Amino acid sequence: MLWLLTLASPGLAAEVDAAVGYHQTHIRDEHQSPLPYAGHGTLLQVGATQRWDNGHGFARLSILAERLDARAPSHPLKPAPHLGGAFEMGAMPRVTTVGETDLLLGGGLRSALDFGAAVGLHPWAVALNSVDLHVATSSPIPKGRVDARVSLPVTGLITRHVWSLDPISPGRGDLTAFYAVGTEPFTVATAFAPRARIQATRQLGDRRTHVTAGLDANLLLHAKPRPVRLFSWAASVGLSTRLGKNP
Amino acid sequence: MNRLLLVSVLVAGCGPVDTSPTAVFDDLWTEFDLRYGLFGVKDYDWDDAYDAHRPRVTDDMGDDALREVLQDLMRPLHDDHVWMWSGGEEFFSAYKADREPGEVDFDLIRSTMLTDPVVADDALTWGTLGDGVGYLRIHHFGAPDHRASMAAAMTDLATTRGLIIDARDNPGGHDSVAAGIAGCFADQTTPFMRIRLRDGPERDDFTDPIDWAIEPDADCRYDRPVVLLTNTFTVSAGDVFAMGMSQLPRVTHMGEHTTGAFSDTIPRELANGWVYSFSVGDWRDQNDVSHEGVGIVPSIYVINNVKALSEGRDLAIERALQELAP
Repeated sequence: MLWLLTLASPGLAAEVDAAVGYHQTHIRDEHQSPLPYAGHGTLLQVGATQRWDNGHGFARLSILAERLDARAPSHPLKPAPHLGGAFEMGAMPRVTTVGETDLLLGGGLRSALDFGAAVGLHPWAVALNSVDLHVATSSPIPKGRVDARVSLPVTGLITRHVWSLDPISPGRGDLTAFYAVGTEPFTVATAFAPRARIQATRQLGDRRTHVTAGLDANLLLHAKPRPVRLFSWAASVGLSTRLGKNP
Repeated sequence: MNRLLLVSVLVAGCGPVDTSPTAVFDDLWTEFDLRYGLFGVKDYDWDDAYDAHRPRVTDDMGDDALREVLQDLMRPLHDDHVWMWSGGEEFFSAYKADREPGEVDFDLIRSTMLTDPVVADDALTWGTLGDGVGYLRIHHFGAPDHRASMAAAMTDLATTRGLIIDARDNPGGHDSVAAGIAGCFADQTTPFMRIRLRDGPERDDFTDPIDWAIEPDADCRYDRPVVLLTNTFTVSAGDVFAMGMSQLPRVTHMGEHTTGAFSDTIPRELANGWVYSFSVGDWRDQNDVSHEGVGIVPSIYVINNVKALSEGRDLAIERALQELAP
């Protein structure tokens, strides 16, 4: 979105990046199974960052594909696919600058869905649509910079499987019923889902193109209907380029 | 990488799992306690069951002994949706557990009784019997895209003067498919089922009732007399189908009673890798009467037998043809 805005506004410039990475997930959802599940796979990210004199704006789409398996002594089923997608956007005005490091504080929106084909022998999903608080730093390094951000969903809607694990109702498909029946509001007091992201960029041959290396970490703790703990992390590398004015 | 993995595991609380027999017993008992939907209907005191069987479990017992305790715990439910797989051994808690399907020979019907049989999606078989009577076998209700096949079947059978629907040995599938197929034989919206799902930890925590009705489907409408055949292996969505069809005025229900396991079922797993399932709701008819464990009783009782099968006869179909005779 920022990228499109940048193209439409010659006075603006944005960094657009794409990255591919290794992703790992660990799930302990007591609502679904007494067993922990874990998997690893591939993460794809596409993002755009708009840097103003007094802050940053960003948008980022992440898609992951992996296979989840139960950590059990014997288990009759094979690993099953786990797919995830998240889109977030936000704006972070600069609060202060310490040395050459900018400290930024802002907010944004995020929509995420994790779907596992078989966790506890049953389809598993968690969806989080949230209003997020962001705290970030941005520091220059030789021929590049390091950006770090911690994000915390403050409130929003969380969707988890219903108590019976059976969201049926006449006239609704399972996915519609899943959202309609299993969704409820949350605050940071009831769903703790911080995320951390650090990305280093370093200039390649020209000033427009940079190589990127990123680390992401996500945690979700939520108690209803029964406790779930989800932790995932990813390491990625990619390229970014600057579009618009001021290469 | 290993350190990162260790940190991940610790943060997510995904450390070692307690696979001891006592932990496995407690987990299964608790899962039933929190989510089983038929304690009230089955009149089984789950707390008493815990007191009776939990002392038999010790952490040094073997798999065979643990399996026996768990089966003893679940057996009094007599629920065909209560099932356990434990290291290659299957267990059903239903009354009919010692009887196998096989008192219907569908190959015999298709090869010797049907004219121009058609099989669609391994879910439906149809053709015509003697005297211009149509025959439709519903193998299962697991094909969500059933409407096109039903429309084709009813087109092919449009000139028949009556129809035998064979739902014997039907293992179930989706209730929505069962209700959708029943819609081909309905003249008007017909309420037939009221369901409640467990939605909380107390044994009487249920959702508000969800009422189901059969909606007429003009694309597959059949407006002549129908005989529905069931047997004790017509189960789950098959039970639901029989419950709905028995509400329709042009349908005569014949054969044996259905299994009587209506509820949706969910699979669960145990820390030692065993898996099991149980009913998560209370499925009743439109008058709020439960048929769990009893099944839908036909208005005309006909039981096939092996001797007749060996002679190339199907007693239920013979009786249905009598019913549909001009």
